[in-house]
Amino acid sequence: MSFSLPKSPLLSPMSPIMEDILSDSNSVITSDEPYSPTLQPQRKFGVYKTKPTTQLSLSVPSTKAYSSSSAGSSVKSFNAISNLLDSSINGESRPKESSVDDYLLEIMNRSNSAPSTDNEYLTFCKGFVDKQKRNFTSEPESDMSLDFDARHEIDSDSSIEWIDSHKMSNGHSNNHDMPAIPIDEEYSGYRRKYGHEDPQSVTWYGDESRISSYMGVIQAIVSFFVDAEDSLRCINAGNHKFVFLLKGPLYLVAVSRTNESESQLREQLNYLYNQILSVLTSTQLTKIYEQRMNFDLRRLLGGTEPFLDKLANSMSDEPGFMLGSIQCVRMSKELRDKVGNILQIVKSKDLLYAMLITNNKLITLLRLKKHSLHSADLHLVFNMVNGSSTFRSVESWTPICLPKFNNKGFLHAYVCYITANVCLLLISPDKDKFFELSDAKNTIVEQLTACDALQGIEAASQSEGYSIADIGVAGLRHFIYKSKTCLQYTSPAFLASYNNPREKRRYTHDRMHSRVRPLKVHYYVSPSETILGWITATFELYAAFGPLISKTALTNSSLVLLKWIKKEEENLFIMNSPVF
Amino acid sequence: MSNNSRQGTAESPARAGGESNNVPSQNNNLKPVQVKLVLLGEAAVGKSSLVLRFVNNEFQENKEPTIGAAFLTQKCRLEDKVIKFEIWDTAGQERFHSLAPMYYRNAQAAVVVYDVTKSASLDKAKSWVKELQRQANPNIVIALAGNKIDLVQPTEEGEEESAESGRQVPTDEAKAYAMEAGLLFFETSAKKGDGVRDVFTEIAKKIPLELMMSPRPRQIVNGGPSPLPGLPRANGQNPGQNSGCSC
Repeated sequence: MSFSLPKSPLLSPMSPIMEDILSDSNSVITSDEPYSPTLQPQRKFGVYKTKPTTQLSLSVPSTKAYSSSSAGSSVKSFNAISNLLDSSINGESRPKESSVDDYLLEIMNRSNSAPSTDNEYLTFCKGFVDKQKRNFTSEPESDMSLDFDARHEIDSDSSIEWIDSHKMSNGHSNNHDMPAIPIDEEYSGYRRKYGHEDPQSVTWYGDESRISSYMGVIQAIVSFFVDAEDSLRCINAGNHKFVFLLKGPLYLVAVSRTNESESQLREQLNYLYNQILSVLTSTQLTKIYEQRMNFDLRRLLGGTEPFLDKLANSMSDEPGFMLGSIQCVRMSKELRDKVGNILQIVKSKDLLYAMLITNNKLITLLRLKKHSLHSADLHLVFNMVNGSSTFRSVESWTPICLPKFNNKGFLHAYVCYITANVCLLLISPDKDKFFELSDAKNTIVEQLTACDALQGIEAASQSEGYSIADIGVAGLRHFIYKSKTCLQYTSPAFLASYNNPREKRRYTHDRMHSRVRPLKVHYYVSPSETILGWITATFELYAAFGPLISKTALTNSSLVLLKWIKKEEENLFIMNSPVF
Repeated sequence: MSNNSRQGTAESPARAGGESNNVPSQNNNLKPVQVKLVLLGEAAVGKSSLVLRFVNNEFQENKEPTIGAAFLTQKCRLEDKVIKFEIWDTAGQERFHSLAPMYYRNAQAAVVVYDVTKSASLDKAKSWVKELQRQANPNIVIALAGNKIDLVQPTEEGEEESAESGRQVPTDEAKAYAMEAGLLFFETSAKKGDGVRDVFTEIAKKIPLELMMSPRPRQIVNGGPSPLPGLPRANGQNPGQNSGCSC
């Protein structure tokens, strides 16, 4: 079943656009080239909106639900494309359900969620992948229909599962030929801003010319759906996934070749959006665009590129973003308490939060009663402190908006490194309190020095954490444990053998996989490792073992691990953050 | 407060070479006089680099943009007095513009920086000067500093025309503007250190310190000390070259 895009008369109104997307994302998808199942296992193109692909979606309920929403002549071309693509997909003997599943998924995921900007993709162990995929697709089919309705309400996390299950076990390499592009645009059709972030490279490319034509395309597509009072959520084109997040005047778009699911990508876009809010506040953002529709947001975001870059980078590496949790420095409870008590000295009504941070990990956090700090906000704070070297040598005073705290206004952060690695952060609602907080810092440093706690925390911050060997669980290679009550996670340093980014990511993705489904336990054996995902009411555990471990041994090891974590709990987590 | 009666000796690592003529001190008040100083200017003109050169005598290539504002202090000796500069190094990005009043509100001195290789940055500097003259402390001492002259200085001895090619703001033009607007004027290189100390020394000289021995310098707001009679507020000359003293 060959597929020749330009020849289809149906395509004529939209075809240049689609061609752009298709040819860019995926050079192979142009005319007449047969799909190769081995190399392109994921190839499909889904535009889900408007009765997409009627003949294709068969009995899928979602299609019905969905088809009501809109019409319009250009829809036809979308459908045409979808149909074409789908038939090509089917032609390559791909199980029909799986592509349908993906449609479903996208359709289902109409809830809110998040994004990412990764663009690793897989060039790795394809044959094996295919096999895995098949296993997976066949197994969950029943789930699929069961969950179907539930997924609407469950959050996006649960629904993404699918895509992940197809893709899981694909290793990714770090190559990328196409940068991920988060784009912000204003929805009436003016271009707001483009930038694209490529997590692998540190720059926020200024090379607009390369993407500006796509911007127009994306804008057109998004506007089309907006006109129909609908919103575009995701497009799958070949190996690429385009995920859209429409936030008032901004459109954020992630283009990804990774295995990340739509909701994970959207989650990441949400983080990026929050990062933008933390610079501008939603009030300001809205006002700007009320006044000037075609405002170039980069003027206001100037200087924050490193933050967006850093954020995009860390989202691909740090599990904390996906887990919605943060990591604490492992240190003895006594020391942490001592530090917490010292921070309490400076309590005043000018202070909302006081925290000590090192390398994206929390040492201690002091908060006003009734004002807990959301982990998403904490990630932004970490990202800010870590994202710029300018905080290192001076005392800084900067406005920051913590969107989960209040996305309409600024708080003011006093940032100062009190040792080489330990950063003290004091957050106040009052912009004139710099000198008070600066004095408070002096007091804190004095006190910390007086009781030797300063060296203690500096030492703790320099250490690499702990290793698997410290725990002594046989066969365990790595794990991530998230305490649901504390919203914190812990994870040992990666072992040398488990250290390369590909392994790490693969592991991460598998873990995500088990996370995003409403599964209690997930057990998965690959030729190289065994993965256990285990979710209960109080914790989530993701552990990697050697491939040959028996189920019994795995269970026992996990229990031992849990016991160890329980024992160390007070050192690994901040169980009760002090309040004032 | 004539030029030849003043002379500064800084405690900080001094790099500027200049003759120092010691004038016997009249009073030995070593209690530091606090001078609140704010740096303003377009993004990436080198404000932070100037301060870092002045405070730590260091220079970082590819410095990341300042976030919000950074606070630094540096003590200097000027004649018989010790001056403690409390420096607010502000971020140049537009989004921080609305915060600037918070920093210049109580400042006794401001350094408005532009980039000699970027003419637009002088325009921005001019708008800062205007804002300061309109809204800041009426007696604020403003210095205009054209930074990055290392980029336009001839590398070899002898004047090479090509070396000047990167310059977009001619010295004369900026100097003329500074004179007209009543600013101190300097050209500096934070990278090499040229002229950096002069900026701060000349500012210290021009501030009527005697009236500022107030114990609460942070609170000096409006109606701060007025300039000494007879001291022209405008000093368009480059004091580093023309005054009889330097640090």
